[in-house]
Amino acid sequence: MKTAATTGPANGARAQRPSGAAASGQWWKAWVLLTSLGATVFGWVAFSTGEPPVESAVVAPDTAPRPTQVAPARHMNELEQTRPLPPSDGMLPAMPQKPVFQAPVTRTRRS
Amino acid sequence: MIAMLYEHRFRAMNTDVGVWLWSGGAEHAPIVHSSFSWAQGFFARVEQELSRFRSTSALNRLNQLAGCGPQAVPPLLWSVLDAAFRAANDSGGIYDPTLCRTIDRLGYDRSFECVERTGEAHEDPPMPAFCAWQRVQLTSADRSVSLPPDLALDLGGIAKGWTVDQVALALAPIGPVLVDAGGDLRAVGTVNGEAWPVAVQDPFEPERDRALVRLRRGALATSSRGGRCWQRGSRTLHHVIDPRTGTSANSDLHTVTVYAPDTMKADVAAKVVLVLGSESGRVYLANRDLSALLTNADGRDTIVGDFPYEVESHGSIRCA
Repeated sequence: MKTAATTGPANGARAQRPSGAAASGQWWKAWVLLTSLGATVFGWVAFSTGEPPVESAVVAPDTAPRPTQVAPARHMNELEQTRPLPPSDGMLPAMPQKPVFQAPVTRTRRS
Repeated sequence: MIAMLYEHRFRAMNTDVGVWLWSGGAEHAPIVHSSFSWAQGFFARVEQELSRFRSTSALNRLNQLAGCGPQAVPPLLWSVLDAAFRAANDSGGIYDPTLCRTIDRLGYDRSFECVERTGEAHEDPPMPAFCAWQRVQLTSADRSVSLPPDLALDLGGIAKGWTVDQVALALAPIGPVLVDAGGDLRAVGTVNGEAWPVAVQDPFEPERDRALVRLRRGALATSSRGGRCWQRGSRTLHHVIDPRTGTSANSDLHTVTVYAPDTMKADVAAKVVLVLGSESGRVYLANRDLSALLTNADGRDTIVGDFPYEVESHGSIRCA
């Protein structure tokens, strides 16, 4: 297939316009390229992991999950057993983007 | 994986307690929940040992043995006692953990919701007890305490602050945490460097806020004449006692909110400044590199030091 030849201005030759047959060959190639690209994008969107965007995963204080209240432990041994264990290094997950808080979390008040 | 903010609320020490903790999603939920369970249990345990209103508490047992010589005390009680007497020394006796009998006599002799709000005035004059704490002997070698027969200990506020600090520090390895017990609160860690927004209640209109504090680290505590108060005869009394007069503090200040590195310091400083008044209170704060929001009896506000507050978007601070 003949393609349009272009040469740089340094050698003084003028660029030639492609002939009609050559131009239709170019459109066919472009169509194939765009179709492939579209299929790739569609497949990426359709089969991605489905993780929500970072912003939507931020839990506002008033909607944060509330664990079931647990009756207080009565003996020192129980307290020691339930003492939280620190996670290993690198366990802390990625933090959400700013701004996290839309309103005060709590208030200091007269006591 | 995205961090989530977990929240846990419960009642302890006759007040509302809240714990906020950032951690991972579902796979981190068990450790978060066991941490909350531990925190609630720890508050309950401290209350059980240190409440002056519980007849079985270690503190009450110690008070009942006043005048009976040195008494060995459990480690938890010792830790808070030690901190309380250091604070008494540091404040020159303005904070005093030995004022239990004084406040009982003024009418606050049971859990506050059971205190009669009105009643007859006590016929005897007030009992000044300045520097009574110096008559208590603490021996660290055997963790023993010797109370004179006329004294009893009250660790209410400082025990609450101590517990908030302990819980915040224990949970901090899991993620950024904020612990609040009745307005005494401590933050450890932030999310992306964004501070914890904490409102400061308007002492005269409790449903409104006075200011917003951006808490990156450290603690806030508020002490006020307007909180726990009651009437005896023609006098309005409140729970912050001036040991120099033996009755409720009567300075030019109505409410003090202190920002300090830890809750125990903030709690003690708020009480001391409320007793001292604005002039001496400023000196006390400056000497300890603490900052505060002082509200006068007439409602005017004064900022002391580098108090981390905002007013533009929240509240109605009225500076003198």
